Amino acid sequence: MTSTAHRLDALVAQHDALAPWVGEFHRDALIDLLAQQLGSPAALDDWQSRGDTRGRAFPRTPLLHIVSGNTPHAAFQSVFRGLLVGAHNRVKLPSAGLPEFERWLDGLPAELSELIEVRHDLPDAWLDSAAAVIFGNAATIETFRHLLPPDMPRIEHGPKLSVAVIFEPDEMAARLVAIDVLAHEQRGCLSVQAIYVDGGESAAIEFAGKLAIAMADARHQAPRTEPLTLSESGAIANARELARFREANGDAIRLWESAGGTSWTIVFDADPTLSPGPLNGFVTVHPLPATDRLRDALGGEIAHLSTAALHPFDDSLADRLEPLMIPRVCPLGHSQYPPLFWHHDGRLPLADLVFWRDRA
Amino acid sequence: MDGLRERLLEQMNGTAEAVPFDSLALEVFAYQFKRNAAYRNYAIARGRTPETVVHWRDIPAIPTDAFKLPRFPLRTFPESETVKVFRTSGTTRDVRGAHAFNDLVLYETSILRGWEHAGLPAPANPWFLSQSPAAAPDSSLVHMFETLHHTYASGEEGRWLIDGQGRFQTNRLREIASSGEPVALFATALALLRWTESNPPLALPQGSWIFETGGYKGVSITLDKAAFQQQVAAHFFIPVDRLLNEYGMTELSSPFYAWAGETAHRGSPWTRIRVIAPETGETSDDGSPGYLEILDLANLGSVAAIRTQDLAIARGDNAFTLLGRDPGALPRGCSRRSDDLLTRP
Repeated sequence: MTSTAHRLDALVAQHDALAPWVGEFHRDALIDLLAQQLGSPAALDDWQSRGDTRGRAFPRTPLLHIVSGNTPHAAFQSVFRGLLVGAHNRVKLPSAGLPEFERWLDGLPAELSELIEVRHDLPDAWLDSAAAVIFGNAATIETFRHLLPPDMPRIEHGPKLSVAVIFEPDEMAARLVAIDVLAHEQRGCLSVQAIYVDGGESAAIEFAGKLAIAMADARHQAPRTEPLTLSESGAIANARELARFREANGDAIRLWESAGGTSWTIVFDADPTLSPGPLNGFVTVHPLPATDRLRDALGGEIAHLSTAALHPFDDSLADRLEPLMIPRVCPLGHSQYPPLFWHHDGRLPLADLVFWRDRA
Repeated sequence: MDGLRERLLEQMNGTAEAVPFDSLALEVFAYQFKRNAAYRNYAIARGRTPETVVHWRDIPAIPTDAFKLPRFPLRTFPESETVKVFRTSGTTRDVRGAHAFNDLVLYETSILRGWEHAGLPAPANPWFLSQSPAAAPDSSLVHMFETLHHTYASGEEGRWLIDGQGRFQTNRLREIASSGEPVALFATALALLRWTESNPPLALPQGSWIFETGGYKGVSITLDKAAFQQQVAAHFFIPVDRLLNEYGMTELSSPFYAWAGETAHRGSPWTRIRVIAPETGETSDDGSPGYLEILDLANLGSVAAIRTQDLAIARGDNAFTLLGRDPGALPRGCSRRSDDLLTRP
């Protein structure tokens, strides 16, 4: 597939399989995406005038993708982008596999499947890749910094977390935020782990009660598909008991929890400090600090924020979060479904996958 | 605490007729419920009071992270009576757990009588690959070492093989090895790893053995327990079954022991264990893994029932097969406190 047009055809033919993972797209949108991130939809095909010179983009190929096992989204999105720019893709999947992605590969036509190699380990032969896109937790990122040759360009997507900010804490907001919390068992970087409610402590507590109903209902409609590991259950149980201890001793904290299991947990905590939780349906609710106090009040974890899901979604309300410099603000209920054109972790994802040559 | 404390000491020392564990445990719970406000509030929140708890298995266990909240002190005595505080490991940025004592006699008696109950050899010639108590005053592990030192090598100073700056006393250990007298070498697993990686093999005299404790999570080492034990045994030229592993925690007073190759860590008669299925909070079936909870009656001044962050399988009332530190838990433990003080040589 030597031309962009050919690659677009091949990807559009996979629309139904890919859209759930990469977001809704069509041919014109992909052309716009290339134009936006590479300056021209033909940037990969021919020399394009750029100021006083001409430039042409070339894919970093072969392109290595190191994919975590949290959700399949990262694998689909990363390989989709690699295919779009014309790279040969080497995909290192987690040792436990990534069933949704592997099923997709099994059904691909030869013209695409021959551009994708998959392994569950990292063979030495792959260390000559032109660049690596790495998804994972801090330990994974650090491991591959040492494993990969130092001169190999790395595009790292390390651990992130997301929040919801609620200005109208009604039942609709509770139902929407339950979606953002529970999708993919909260294991992605776009998963909401903390909720900030405008209106002070009483508003936040009242909203937590509404959320408890919404979470119970959501879990009733769609129970967990797989049991948690001991460690996952244990992390929730430990966090619950610590919350119970604090509540019993007078901290401004309250606990709502599913009975008989760890299906869902809500902890109201008047302390607005953002901290990662144990995932798998565990969320904290806090009063939203005043805009001029946001950075200090939420603490150092804001450096790892990926997305804020807002309700209602409105630019003037989003502006109130500006001190946090969050890479992405989206409507509540959409945190786990980024648009095709999003700046992944604040970057232009296609631009990272090419290098440029100039011809005067 | 005098009456109960004395009776506990009598039970540990075997100087009084044995009292059923359950009755002593319920008495300890009632004692702590009355005097430890933070624990009482938690127990009430769990629906457990001296009136409702009728078996040691029902005594509510406190999560170890609760020891990291100094505003809710987990002690049965006023702060002014504190004589010692042991702290969990951690960097200056980490919140460290604190276990306060107004009396170390129960703690030290538990170490010494527990050693005998476990049938462990008297460490006639003990050496400690560790900093001294003066250099690490808030390490419970180092205090345990000092208790053994004082008991088995009283008056013999200079048995600490890591200096105040965290450097190994390399030549000193070599001299000890060349003396021909069997050695009992006490260390954290991490100190042993660092020693073996930075020094040539060293043959300890025949009959020597090694006490090791703690893990090495948080360092760039991937080594399973059996491989670690093989590596250490080979380095020091001792049979692998002469490696004694201790399971202990800053939040506890009583350790559990297993020789390399044994499948279970065994505790003292004044301890009990439960393994909990975290999804339900119920006791795991025999043979099923879960979270380890320990009831340690020597913890009279704080909380006897502790919920650990370790996974285990129950092997009776006070023995368990350790599966390891919960990978979801943050690095912690008294041995890492010691390791924090050990700079790489």
